[in-house]
Amino acid sequence: MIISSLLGASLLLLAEEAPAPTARDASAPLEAASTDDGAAPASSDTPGNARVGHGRGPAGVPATFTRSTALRARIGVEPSAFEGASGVSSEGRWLASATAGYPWWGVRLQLGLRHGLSPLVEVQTALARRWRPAAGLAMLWVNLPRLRIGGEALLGWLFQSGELGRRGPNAELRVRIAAPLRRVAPYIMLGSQHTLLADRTTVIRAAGEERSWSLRGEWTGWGTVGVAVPITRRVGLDLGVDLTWVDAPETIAIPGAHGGIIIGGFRQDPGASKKRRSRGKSQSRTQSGDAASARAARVMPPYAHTGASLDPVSGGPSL
Amino acid sequence: MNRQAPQRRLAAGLAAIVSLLAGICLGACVNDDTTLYEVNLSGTIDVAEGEPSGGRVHVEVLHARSGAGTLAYPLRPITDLELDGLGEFAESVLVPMENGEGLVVYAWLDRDGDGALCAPGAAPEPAGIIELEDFPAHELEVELVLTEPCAGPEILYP
Repeated sequence: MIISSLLGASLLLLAEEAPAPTARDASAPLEAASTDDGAAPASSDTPGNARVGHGRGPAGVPATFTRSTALRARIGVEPSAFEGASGVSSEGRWLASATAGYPWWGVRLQLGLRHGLSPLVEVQTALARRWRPAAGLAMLWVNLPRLRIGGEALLGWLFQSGELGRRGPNAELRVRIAAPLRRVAPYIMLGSQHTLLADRTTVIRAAGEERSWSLRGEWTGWGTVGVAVPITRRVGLDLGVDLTWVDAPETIAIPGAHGGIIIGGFRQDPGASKKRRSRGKSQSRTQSGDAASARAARVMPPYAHTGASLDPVSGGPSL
Repeated sequence: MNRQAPQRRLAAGLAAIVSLLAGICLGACVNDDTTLYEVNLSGTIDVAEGEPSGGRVHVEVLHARSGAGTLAYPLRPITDLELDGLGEFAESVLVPMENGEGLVVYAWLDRDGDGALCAPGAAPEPAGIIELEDFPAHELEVELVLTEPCAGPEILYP
């Protein structure tokens, strides 16, 4: 019921979403990029070219920014909540999220690298009885204006206390499908979690002890339907319904729900570092930097085309 | 000499770290840790003199007690055996040590061969039970006489 309501709400939002999602705020004037560096104005109708200029962020924060400066920073400028929904951070950005609910809680940290890759670490727990710390890699497979599909592979260790105590190496594969809209990003996450469990049997005979090991597996299927909502560009909320089936098919599936917070940022102030690097360089070097910016526009994954703002004080992106 | 000393320390340190990690892994890997105690049962199962002695003998090996506190209960089953007939026998049983305490052997004679202890309209089938006080020991002697007709283990124990 809840899932269908969420899906229905998502479809309504999709239907109402008139402008292309590359423009994160329809109220923002669709000016061409200012050419403070001499770069050619960006076309607004291709995914790789953001509509930028002066406007207001999703949270209504007034800002000014130029696409060319964002390109020089070589970072995506999408709200962190959207990156949380798709599970992949753009290059140079980090993301931390914490979720709480019944029965699942979790903490996750990830860092955006080139080529749409994001290494991540996370700790997942169910009622503090089942713990699974893991490290992994997320990768963006499909990056369309209204559709992001990514995959994650994680390796970790399972610790479960209580009568049904379990421990062993754990691997999980996930697929995330997110639909970033203007204000929210509904997403679906499907996961397949496998744990290898080792049992030890000791036979005490008159002649002595014999010890043997055996292995068995535990499979946990995972499905989450949720929505990520940016509050500011740095901070967002994550609300979702979880359907997990631990140790399927020998058990019953217990549905759950979670709410969480997503916080994002930058590894460093790219604007400032760029300024330092370019200080004292000749005009010709600046022009070659513009050429590098143009190259960056071609390789920049995955959210470079989105609208954003630059902090007028720091020169870095304002989230 | 001086060059080898740091290398040895490094190797020793690496070995210690690897051993520690292996220990943690092994310690954190075990899920079901089962200890089975092998018991060789031997002896005789018989009926009172003059009673019909034909038929197979069904034997149940049970823990005398299991659980703790208010959840404690008697006669937790361990395994079932089936003997061709009365008389001498020798069988090996693996007793899980974590599941209970004490060892009890219960047997009944299946005179009509239907696999069920007694039945409406059928002849009574004798049963008997014995607690092996010497357990735990690998060699245990069983001398059991089946005297109680149609009695289950819960009636006969303690």
